[in-house]
Amino acid sequence: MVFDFSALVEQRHAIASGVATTMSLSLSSVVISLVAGLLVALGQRSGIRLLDYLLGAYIQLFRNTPLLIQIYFFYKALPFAGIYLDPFLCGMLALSLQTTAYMAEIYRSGFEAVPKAQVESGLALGMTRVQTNLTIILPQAIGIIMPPLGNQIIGVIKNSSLVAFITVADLFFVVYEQSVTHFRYLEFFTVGILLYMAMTIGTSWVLFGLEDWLLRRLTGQPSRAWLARPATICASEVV
Amino acid sequence: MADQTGTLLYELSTWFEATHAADILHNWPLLAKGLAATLTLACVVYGASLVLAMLVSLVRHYRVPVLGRLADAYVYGLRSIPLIMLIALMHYGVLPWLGLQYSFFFSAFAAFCLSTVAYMAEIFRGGFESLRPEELESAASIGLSPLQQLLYVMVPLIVIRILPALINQGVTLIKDTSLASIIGVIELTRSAEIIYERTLHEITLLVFIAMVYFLLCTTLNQLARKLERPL
Repeated sequence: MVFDFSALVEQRHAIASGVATTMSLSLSSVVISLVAGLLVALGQRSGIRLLDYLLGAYIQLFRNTPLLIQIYFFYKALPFAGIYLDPFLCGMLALSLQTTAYMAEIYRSGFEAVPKAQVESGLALGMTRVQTNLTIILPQAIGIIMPPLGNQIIGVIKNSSLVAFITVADLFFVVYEQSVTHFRYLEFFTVGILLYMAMTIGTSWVLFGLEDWLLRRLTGQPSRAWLARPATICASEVV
Repeated sequence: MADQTGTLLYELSTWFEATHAADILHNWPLLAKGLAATLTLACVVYGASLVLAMLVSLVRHYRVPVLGRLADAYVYGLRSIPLIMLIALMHYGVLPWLGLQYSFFFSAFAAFCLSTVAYMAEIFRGGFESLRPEELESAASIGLSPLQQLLYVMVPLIVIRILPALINQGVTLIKDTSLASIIGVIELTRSAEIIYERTLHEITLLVFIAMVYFLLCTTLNQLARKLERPL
């Protein structure tokens, strides 16, 4: 087999548009689920039993079913409810809903790591529950939350490739389509993988920098020396 | 009274028809075959990856000259690409190129192993890093050889600590096997697709297989939680 990259060069604009779709999809899903995950975690700490129960059920449901099936479900079930969404929006919805469930769990673990007495003293000072959680607990939990949150953000970029199955022309879709058309699987997929790697590794570097900056702002000292970190994207995935 | 029962039964039967649950009942052999394929794929990949990941993490832990760096690069690189891309590359690109084009199942197996080994090697690395110096020193001080230290002290300690994470990896694997459907492996997702492509009742089948995946994954999660508690 001879490598032939001419078709690839010819189709560079299609691939660039795929990269753009993947990035905009991931970015919007990340922003939505960062906010929604915080809201869900706050809802779980609101002290309302029913809300806690419902949100817990939502988290369990979305964490324990494959993303592919969630995407298919929203794509095929929403029209029955009279909602006709653009495939891009539909993929964004499914991706955000699943990521929100994961992010809520991360926020919750961070909140729980801060001693409970601090919530009680915040309430004793006359602050509301939300105020206490946001201004006292969250800043302390950020050091714990940031690394797994970063993993999740990188996970979104990787998971976004599944929206190709509901016809969103993201990077995987474009690469797949072009490789079939030109019968150049190895070349197109290799370049696709390299582009995904560039996106995820680039994002991880940005997140390391952000984490460092944020911790220095909050605690006044540099965080764990991030250059000395072991060469892994998601060290905190480990127990 | 009889009239009321009749109405209730009628309503129940219309409701039952509206759910199209009969699709599931009529096609249960295909669904069962799909579930069996999902579980087989997950188990085979899990077993093979455990062994390979142990080797990779040993090579990394003992810093074997060239292999150690290669293993680092492999673990770092493989974890930064989407699984679906890897499956497609293996099935359409690498395996035919190497002349290893056996079956859909084999391609899926190879791709899943490649990625699962990388994630598991990271879990093992976490286990190795969790060993405290005094644990290693006391193992050395009672005169155990390096191999004995590894087998009788390090491995048991590591396994207990990483067991919940390993089970979580299994949960992820079961969910990820749904991606094998795109290259034509007839596992649970693909078998449901085959049925609803014929009957056009997608929602029934999708909800049903989502429930199956949910049951499998929550059972494993509960197991992981139980194991986590006494430690």
